[in-house]
Amino acid sequence: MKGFILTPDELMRLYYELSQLGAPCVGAKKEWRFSPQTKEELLTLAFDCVRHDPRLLSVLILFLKDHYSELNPYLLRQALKKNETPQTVGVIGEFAKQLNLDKELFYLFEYLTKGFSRKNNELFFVGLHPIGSLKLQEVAAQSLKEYRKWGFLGIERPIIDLTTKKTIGSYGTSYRIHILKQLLKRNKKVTVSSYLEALHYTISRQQALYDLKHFFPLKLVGIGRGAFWVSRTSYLGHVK
Amino acid sequence: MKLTGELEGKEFLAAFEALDKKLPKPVKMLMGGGAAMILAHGFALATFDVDAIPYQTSLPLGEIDKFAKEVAHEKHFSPHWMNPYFSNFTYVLPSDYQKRLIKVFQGEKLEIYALSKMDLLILKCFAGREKDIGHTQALMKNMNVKELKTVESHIETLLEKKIPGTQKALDFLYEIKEMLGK
Repeated sequence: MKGFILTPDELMRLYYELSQLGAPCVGAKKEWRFSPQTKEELLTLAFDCVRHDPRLLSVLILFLKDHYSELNPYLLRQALKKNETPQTVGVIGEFAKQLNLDKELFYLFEYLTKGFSRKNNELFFVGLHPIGSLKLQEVAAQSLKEYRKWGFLGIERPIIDLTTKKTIGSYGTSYRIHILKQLLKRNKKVTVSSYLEALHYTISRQQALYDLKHFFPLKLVGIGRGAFWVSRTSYLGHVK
Repeated sequence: MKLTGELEGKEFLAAFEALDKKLPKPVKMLMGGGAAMILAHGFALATFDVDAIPYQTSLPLGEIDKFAKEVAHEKHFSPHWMNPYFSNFTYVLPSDYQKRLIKVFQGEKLEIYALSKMDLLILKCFAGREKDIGHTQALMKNMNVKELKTVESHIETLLEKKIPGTQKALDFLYEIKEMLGK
C-alpha cells in the first residue's frame, strides 16, 4: 500500500478491522478506500500508517507479540515490500522482541526485514510537532535506540501494558554518555539514582552501574546510599 | 505534461487550482523540494512531485491527501504527485523559518507557501545526496554572505545539540562552498 495517508474516518476503520483480528483497540466501521483481502494486507496498511499515529504503534506491537504465529510470513513480506517505508516493521519488531522472547518471533522479523536498508535520520512519526520547535529537536537528539536502529528518530515509548500503562524503549550508548557528561558538568558528581532519573528509568540499575564504571574514568566515593561518582580529576577535592 | 511524467511550473499551478476547488475549508500548505525551487526561486529544474505538508491548518493531512489523489486521477498525474516526505526532516529547520516563507499560490481556499533559499539549503545539506549538489550550488550562488553565514551558524548550533547527521551536513556545506569559492 504505497503512500496513502488515512483520513480520520479511515483510521477509525483501520482500528476496527485490526480489532476484528484480535488487536487491543477499538474503532468504527466507517467507509474507506481500501479493500485488504488478507490479514497480511491489512497489517501492511497499518505498518505504513503507523508513522501518522503513535497509538497505532502500541496496538501493532501488542498484537504481533501474541498473534504473530497466525500470519503467513511470505505473504506479509511480499505485501510489505510494496510499502512506502517497509522499515517501520523493523522498528515494531525491535519493541515486540523485548516482550516475547520466543525465537520464532525473532526469526519472523529477521525474515520480514531482510534486505531493507536503514533510513537516513528520518522522523518516525511525522506531523506531530511544529516545524522548528524545540520539541522536534528533542526528538532528534534524544531518539530511542529502537528507532535509531532503523535510521529513524523517535522518542515515543509504546505502551506495553494497557492496565498499568507501562512503556518500553531505551537510549543508545551515545545518548547515555551525553547525559552522563551533562550531569557531571552540572553537578560535578552523579549518583546511580540521578543517572537513572535523567534516563527516565529506561535502563536497569545494573546497566547504570556498568555505564558509570566504564563510560569515563570516574571514581566512586563512599558506600551505600550516600555514595556518588566523580571524575577522577576532581576526586581529590572530595577526600576528607 | 512531458512524456516522462514530470510536472512543470504551470502544471503545478493547474493542479493547485484543481485541489483548491475540492477543499471544504481554507488550507495552508508548506512546500519544499523541487517544486519550491521552481515556483519560488525560479530554478527551471524538472521535478516529479510536490513536497508539501499542511501548515497552520485544521484539515487533517489524510483528507488533503485524499483530495490530492482525486486530482491525480482526474489530471492523469501520478497519485503521489503531492506527498509529505520532506516533513521527515523538518527537525533541522530553524524556528524563525516562517518569517522567510514565500507565497506561491493563492486560491479561494488553498494557500501555498514555499520555504526560503536559506531553509531549502539547510534541508539539502542534511539530505546530502549527490543529486542534491546541483540544487545546493544553485541556492548558494543566489545567497549573500550574511545568508550563507546564517545557514552555517544554524547547522553548527544543531551540532552542539547533538542532532544526528549534523556533521555530515556541515561537511556537505563546506564542500560545496569550496567548490564555489565562497
